[in-house]
Amino acid sequence: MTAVIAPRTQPARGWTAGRLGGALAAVALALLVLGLTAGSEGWSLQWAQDSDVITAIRAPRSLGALAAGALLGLAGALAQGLFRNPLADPYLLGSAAGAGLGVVLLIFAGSVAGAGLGLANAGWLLRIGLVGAAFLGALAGVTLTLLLAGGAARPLVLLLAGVVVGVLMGAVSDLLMLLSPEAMRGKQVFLLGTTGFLGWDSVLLMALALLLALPLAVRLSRVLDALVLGEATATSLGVDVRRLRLLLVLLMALCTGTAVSQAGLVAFVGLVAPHVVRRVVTVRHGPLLALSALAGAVLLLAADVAARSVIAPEELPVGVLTAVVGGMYLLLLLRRGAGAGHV
Amino acid sequence: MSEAVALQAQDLSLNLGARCVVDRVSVALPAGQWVAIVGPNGAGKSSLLSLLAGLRTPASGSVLLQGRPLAQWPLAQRARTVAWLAQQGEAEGEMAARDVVLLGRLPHHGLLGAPGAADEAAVDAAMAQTECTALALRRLRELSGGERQRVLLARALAVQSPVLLLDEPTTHLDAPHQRALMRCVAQRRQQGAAVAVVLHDLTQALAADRVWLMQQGRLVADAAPGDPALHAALAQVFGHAVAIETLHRDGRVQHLARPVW
Repeated sequence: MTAVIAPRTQPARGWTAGRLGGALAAVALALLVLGLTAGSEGWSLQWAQDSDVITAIRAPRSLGALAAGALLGLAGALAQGLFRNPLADPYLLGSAAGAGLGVVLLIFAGSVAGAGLGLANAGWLLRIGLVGAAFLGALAGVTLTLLLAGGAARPLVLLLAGVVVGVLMGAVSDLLMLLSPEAMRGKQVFLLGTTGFLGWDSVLLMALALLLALPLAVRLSRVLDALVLGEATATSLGVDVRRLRLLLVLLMALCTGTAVSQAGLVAFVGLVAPHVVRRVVTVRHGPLLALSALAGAVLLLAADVAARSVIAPEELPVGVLTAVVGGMYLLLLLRRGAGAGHV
Repeated sequence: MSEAVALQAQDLSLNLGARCVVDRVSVALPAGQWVAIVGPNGAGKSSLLSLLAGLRTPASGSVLLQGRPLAQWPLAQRARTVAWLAQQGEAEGEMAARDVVLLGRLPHHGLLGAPGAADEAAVDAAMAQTECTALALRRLRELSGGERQRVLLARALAVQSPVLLLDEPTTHLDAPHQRALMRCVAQRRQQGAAVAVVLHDLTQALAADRVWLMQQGRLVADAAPGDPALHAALAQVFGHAVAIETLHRDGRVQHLARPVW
């Protein structure tokens, strides 16, 4: 080698994982303030007067948006690393649809049994049951997608299989709802994806899932690093790929299931968050997972604040907003990927 | 040291679907020797190498690593003993080149451990050896084929294992880097490592200590590079598209594979 090539990614821009983390945390804090003040009657800073509204509605809702976004961002980063596929995302992999079906099944069972269940009036036990159902559904969804696609090696095939599974599971949910009209309302809220029903118990539940999943995922992140070199090379490096991958899929399903059971089908946060992080820094999967969770939290809270204020006093379901923005981002990725020969 | 057999395969067979890709192969790879594995496309060279690395389970036969069956080795310990470089094509991603090379130290510091000073030093040495130090902060995806190959090679070297198995390591490399690779292999062998390399370039292969020639899953020849019988077998297996010529220059012997048009 004659000339020394100037490294052209990370140092040139001066972004490190720590700096990005700090910046994201600052944005999250600023958004949290906005989230506490944004209401159906515009922005209000009258704390004393609004304190009930703030503690009972806006605070859990904003914190819940952060937690759900973090879970989805983490799930997305896990999925992209696990399947070595930059388009992998809980929503696109069919695991979110599976989680949704799990929840609908539970609501359906409840309505058949005569107990009017809904996300709005769900108590503690039911919320945990919902998480369980969503977790199993998420696992079923991603398993079915992987079976259909014959593995995760081909990004576009995986994407198509995920869409097929999503449609199928959606259809099954629809059928169940036809059989039990009482549960229709709950399901509608659910399919759109909303932060509007997040209470303190949701926040606690999601925070617990995050506290369990994030440290464990970061500890195991070297597996994802090794998988960059392919399964065989990872095995040759002494990584028990099969067992550890299963563990990571379970973590991804836990994150997806918890987020979906509380906030419904919020699309694309899991896809976009890791991409945003990777655009700014070049890091191993450890920091990538943590930063993606943080980026997901920021994205969903930003979407939530926007959903509450753009057409106030009405509000947009936050899932509609993330679907529009995330869908455009996906198109952008596909366009760029087609030019570069990979997605 | 050089007398010990590092890897030994006995009656090794592997089927992929209905096809027998490795057919009752028995070979020995001694420490301090480098072996070139050659043969036409689809001869089973890569399959044999991955069997030797323990990455596939043979249909029959066994592989002994330092006298002990591969299956009995704990995964991490085996990974410290045998480094394997895949054929190019699989590695893809956004990780920085240096982090990729650092993965070669994974068997040493463990999945949950952090790399120490010795690991960093091994990475620096391996990257210097394959001349990819300047690529350290570039993303794997942004590299050219040759650059990526050097990074992946450094990853395999960084393991600092007594057994080194390389599958077509010269892919995409220009002539100076191919020579650097050959010297690096020779140096590892000098240090007592056992090295097996799948090669397409027969001239390079004939610089090895020993050549394994494969055809349709079987081992056709296992001979020293100067063996006239090997030269005849090579010409025959490659459909007389090559002829081996021996060159004596400055007291050195070099065997050249000349294409026959």
